[in-house]
Amino acid sequence: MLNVSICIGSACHMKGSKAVIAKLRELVAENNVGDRVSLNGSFCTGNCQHAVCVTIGDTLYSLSPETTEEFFNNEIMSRI
Amino acid sequence: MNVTTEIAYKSLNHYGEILCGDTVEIVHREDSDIVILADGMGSGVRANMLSTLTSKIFGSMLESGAHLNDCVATVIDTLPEDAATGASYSTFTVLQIFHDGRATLIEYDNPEAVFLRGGRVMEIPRRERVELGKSLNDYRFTVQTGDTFLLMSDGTIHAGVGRRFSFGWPWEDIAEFARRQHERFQSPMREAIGICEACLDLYEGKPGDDTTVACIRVTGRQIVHLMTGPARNPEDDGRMVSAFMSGDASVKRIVSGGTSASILSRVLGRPLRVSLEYDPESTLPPMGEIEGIDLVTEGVLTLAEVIRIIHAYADIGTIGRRFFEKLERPNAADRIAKLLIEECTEVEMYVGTAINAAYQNPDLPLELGMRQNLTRQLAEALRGIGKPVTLHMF
Repeated sequence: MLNVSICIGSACHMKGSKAVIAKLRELVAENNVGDRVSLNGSFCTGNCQHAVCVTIGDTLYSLSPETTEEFFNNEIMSRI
Repeated sequence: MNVTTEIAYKSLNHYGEILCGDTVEIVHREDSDIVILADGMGSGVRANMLSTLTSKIFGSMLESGAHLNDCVATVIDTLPEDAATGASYSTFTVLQIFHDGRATLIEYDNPEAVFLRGGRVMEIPRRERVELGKSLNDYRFTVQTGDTFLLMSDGTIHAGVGRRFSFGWPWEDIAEFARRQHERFQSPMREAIGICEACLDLYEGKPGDDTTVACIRVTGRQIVHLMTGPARNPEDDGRMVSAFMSGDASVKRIVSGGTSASILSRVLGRPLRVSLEYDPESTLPPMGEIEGIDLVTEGVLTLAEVIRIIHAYADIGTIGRRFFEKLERPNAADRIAKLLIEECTEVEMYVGTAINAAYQNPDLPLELGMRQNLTRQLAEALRGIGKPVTLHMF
């Protein structure tokens, strides 16, 4: 199971975590990979300047709702 | 016994009047809590001035430590009388509840207070005494946790006169209504609103008299600890967490702030889980969970909304049933506000004063950098609704 953690802390929330989460959920469902990808929330990790912060393992990615699909294809699909 | 009270009230103005002729004054003293409900004769400006005069004399004398008997004598002596009838221009009810459980109820020409205990309407014995020629009911007794009192102006028993009920809403029926809604409602404000809204219906939306209900509930203390923001010096994290976790299991604990929640989780060694479930009717981030902590939420955005909700609660003129419907929503701000408004008698705030460097980024809304300001506003808002707050800065 690939754990993808999306920050919903103040700064990330203001920068669009909700839309990023909705998009990721949609992509997970569309690609039928719900049994291999787990989406989790996290609170502030202290990287607010990179908001929206998404982590896979120890790697931090900086997303926006617009770049979410690209992230999904490059970083999630390639790992499962 | 160590009791305290929760007090709330709601008024309806006489139809067409801007001012209410009933006045409620609440005094919190070291030894006791006191509620005064005064009803000035007539309506509008004159009634408002008469009831304000009455309640303020009580309020300022009691605040400076006067004995209730002396206040009653002063008020009776001061009140002007109607030249034709000799009737005083204001009636009043005063309830004083001492923290050791003793209580005094003094009623002068208002409808009798409704006294609920253990799901029943209790009879208040008539103990009449005469003060400067005026007959008062003066009842001394001992309260228990859970006892609830409803003080009313006569706009309640007159509700519906000439409309649905030619003789108004009988006291016994009001008491029964109060008893039934008491079983459902969790807070004095809901009970006061419940009766006022029923009166408004009976008046068909146009109250023929100023109508006021004050609800007083005797409770034990319920302390809430709220932690927000990281300590200025990270070495103080442990000290801040142990202060926040102090007290017994009855203390309710809220941590508001992502970084604070992470610190708490790390220091306590209990995992922090964060939900991805949004309340569709809220713009706030979802909540988190830490075992043994009642509420775990995001910080500044949530607290700003909590302050807005408490200000709405404090606005006696506009608050109604819908306010409480919204308060049941499953989002961080409504959950915190509900806990602070309905399940809390005093608040200890543990405030970290670190400046989050990331929030100084000009791309981010200014709101994020305002934690100090927010915690001060929250403390003020809570004091404004009668909840003592102590601030501990780290």
